[in-house]
Amino acid sequence: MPKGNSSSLLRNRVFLYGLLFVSAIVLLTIVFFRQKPLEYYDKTEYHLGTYVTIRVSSSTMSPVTLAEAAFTEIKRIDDKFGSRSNGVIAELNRTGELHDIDKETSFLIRSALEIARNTSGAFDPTLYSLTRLWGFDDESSKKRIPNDKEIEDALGSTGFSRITYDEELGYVSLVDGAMIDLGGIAKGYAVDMAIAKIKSLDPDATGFIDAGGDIGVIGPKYGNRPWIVGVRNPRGESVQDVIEYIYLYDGAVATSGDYERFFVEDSVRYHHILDPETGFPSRSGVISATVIGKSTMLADAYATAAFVIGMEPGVTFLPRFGALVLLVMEDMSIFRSPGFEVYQER
Amino acid sequence: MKFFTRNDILIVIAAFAIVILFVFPRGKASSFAEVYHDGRLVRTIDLSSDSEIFLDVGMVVKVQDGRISVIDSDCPEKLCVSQGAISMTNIPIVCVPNRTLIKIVSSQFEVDAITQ
Repeated sequence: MPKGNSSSLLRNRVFLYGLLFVSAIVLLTIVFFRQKPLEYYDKTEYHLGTYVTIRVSSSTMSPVTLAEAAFTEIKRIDDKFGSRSNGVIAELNRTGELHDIDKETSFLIRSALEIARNTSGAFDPTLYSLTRLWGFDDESSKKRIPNDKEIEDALGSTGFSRITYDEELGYVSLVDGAMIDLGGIAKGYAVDMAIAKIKSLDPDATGFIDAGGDIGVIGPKYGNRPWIVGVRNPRGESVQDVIEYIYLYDGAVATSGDYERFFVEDSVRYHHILDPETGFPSRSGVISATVIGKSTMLADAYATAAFVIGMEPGVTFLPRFGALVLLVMEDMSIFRSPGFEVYQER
Repeated sequence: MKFFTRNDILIVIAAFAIVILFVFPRGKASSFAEVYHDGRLVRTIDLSSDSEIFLDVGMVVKVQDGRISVIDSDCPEKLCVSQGAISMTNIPIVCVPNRTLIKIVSSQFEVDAITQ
């Protein structure tokens, strides 16, 4: 075999294998980068009195880091505003007035008062003494039906009109022994802030945060598909028993139901959503109220309000505050506020 | 003049075979067809394996290469048969006389979260 021939064979082989090697690298790189954003990282932790699940994906940074950052933020808000916290709100409730409140507390009080006004008090941030009376303030509290005198006394110190709030001065005062309870919006607020934290680290991150059924969307599934959210059947046997489907690209959804916390006495169900007017569990005929809103905080608070308002004309005003409502009534019939159906088309 | 030995060619072919084996099954990932009768989901058909299925509504569907078609129907005009095989999610096969709709979903229907 001539010498030239074997060296050209060698050159050709080097070229061939070089080409194969380069294509393999290119292919692996493509596969690696295409697969990565499709993976969602799930993490569940117990905060805000419920299980919080974060499902997140990022093409630029570790989703583990994003989830950790989000949980840190949720924990911070839980420590500051949660029911067991001993922070600003506890101090305000002890002293009855507070000067120079910080911006975040101020924002939450302002939001709570605004929602209370918008819903004519169906959502009320001053119901803590009533909630405690019924034993709905804590899982371990004894649940019982208070007598009329107790209810009457409690009603004497509830109602959002007993809060005086001056935004410019950063001043809040409470009269008649009223106590502020931001539990009704702090959970949603924590989800919103956790999403904001994730977005500040990666604006293109996608996923959602689920805090005990209050769901805030970080970004659409795989960047272009909606998250499929099932509305729990309030009389279903399992949590997975779904009555309606919602498709969410952004925003948030929250549900208030009479199955969440309740006790049964003499075959009557007493649930945790109290009517601020009567002091008793709301009897509006609603057994579950779902609200789609811009933020989890708004969805959560308006879901509570919608549950109390029920089919009264007031519920038709909620969409004007950015809250789309789906009500499940006692007879399992379903009411949707105009616009809700848009989120039910895939 | 010889450019490559036979072994080189075999290695190249093997490399391409591996790539094709890895890429193609993933291309048609587990997709499903849903059969609706009177608007109710009556059956879910796996499109990853070829089969012929008789539906109670009086239709025979055929699954081949990830596509589904109606190959026989007891309806008078058999328009559903003439609609051919579908593989896209947004174009269903409709049979009006049998009140039946067959559509493909990208993966089995799954809820991401429950609001409660």
